[in-house]
Amino acid sequence: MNIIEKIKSGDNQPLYDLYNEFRDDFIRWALNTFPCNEEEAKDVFQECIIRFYRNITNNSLQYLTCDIKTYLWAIGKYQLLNLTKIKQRTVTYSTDKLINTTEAAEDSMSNKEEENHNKEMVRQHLSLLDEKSRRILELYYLEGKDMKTIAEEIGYKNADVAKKKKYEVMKKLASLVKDKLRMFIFV
Amino acid sequence: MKDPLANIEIIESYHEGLLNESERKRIEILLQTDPIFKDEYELYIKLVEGIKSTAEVNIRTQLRIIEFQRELKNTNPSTPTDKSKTNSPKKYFWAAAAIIIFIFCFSIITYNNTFSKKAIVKKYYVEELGLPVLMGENKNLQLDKVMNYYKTAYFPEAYKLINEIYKNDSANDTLLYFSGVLSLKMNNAKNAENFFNKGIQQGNSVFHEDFEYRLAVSHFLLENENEAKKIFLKIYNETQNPYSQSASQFLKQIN
Repeated sequence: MNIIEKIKSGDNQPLYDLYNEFRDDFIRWALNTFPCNEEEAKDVFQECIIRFYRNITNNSLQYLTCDIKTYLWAIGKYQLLNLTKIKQRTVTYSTDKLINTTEAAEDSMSNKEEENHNKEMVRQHLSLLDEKSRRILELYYLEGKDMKTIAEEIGYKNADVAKKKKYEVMKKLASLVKDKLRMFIFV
Repeated sequence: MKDPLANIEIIESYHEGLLNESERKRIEILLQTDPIFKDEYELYIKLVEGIKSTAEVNIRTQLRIIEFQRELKNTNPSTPTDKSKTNSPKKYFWAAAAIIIFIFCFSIITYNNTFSKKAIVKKYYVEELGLPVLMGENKNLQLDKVMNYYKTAYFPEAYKLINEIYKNDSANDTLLYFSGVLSLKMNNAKNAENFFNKGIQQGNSVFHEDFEYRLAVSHFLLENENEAKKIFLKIYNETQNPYSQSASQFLKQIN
């Protein structure tokens, strides 16, 4: 099983191994190449690992055409360039532009805040579900398992029963969490 | 109460690209014309995003723990960094061989116990959701900060801060409880055990049931199965205890 397949199957250990293996190199490279400090370089590398994971799980990365280090460095490079741009923008923009930028940033911050709030609410209410219900959602949405495999792992009669159960759990989660989400719902 | 996800089957099929052309068009028209259907679709998307975010939160937390452990290692003065440079290659070889043999034997012995124990805890452990942080309240600002760190999974940061508060208020059961919870989160069951034991000794804490349950989990992780079993059994027999169901799952694993 290669690293992408392992991560897709829900095993995150390769991500931590990658972090340990390349962390120091990345920080050294970032400090030598971009105007950032060690903390920023560290945060960027953590973000690289998360993006690598995200790209695998949403299928935008199905196989690597370069080695992993090159891939991570490519993500990191754009992150560090953005960071540099943000720093430069704050220093060089005129007051007018700065005000506009701030408004846009505030908008996007409030969207981000709303998104984070909603995700946090879902995570909190997930932990209120019983173990079997939580597991069925994890297997389907996080590990990308098909319903037949889920039925076998959890002990349901067949894929249809597992699928029905999954819908029930989603409905239960929806009714627990819907009033706490920041969105307008008619129901 | 109306089903908030009455159309989940068709919504999920649409979202996953499993519909044929005409069905897909029908859904797209519904999304443009039916606000109730649109809200249902958005609710579904938010739920899926929330579920998926649990994995990213876990990874971020683990990366922070790795950083925290590195920090601890770097501040440990006993790490022999300079000596290693003067070691001969032969010495290096034997040291590496000894370490490999030791790790190999140690892994075989502990794999079944430790690894499977962590997996069991991951499966059956009831998470602590944290205390509410009230806007505009000025009391306990430090503890609010700890809770914010805790809820956003910044466990090492939360632990550092709660440790500072704890130094001046070591009898506070809330601090004891969350110090233990955070220790468990950071894979330090021994530390957690100490905090929970201290909490139980206080006798009249509102966290008494929580102290007991998490002490049992700490014992379980530390291989003190008899102690763990005793407490889980007590919790299991208390039908009103919120941890009764989880305790029964742990008991099944111990037996």
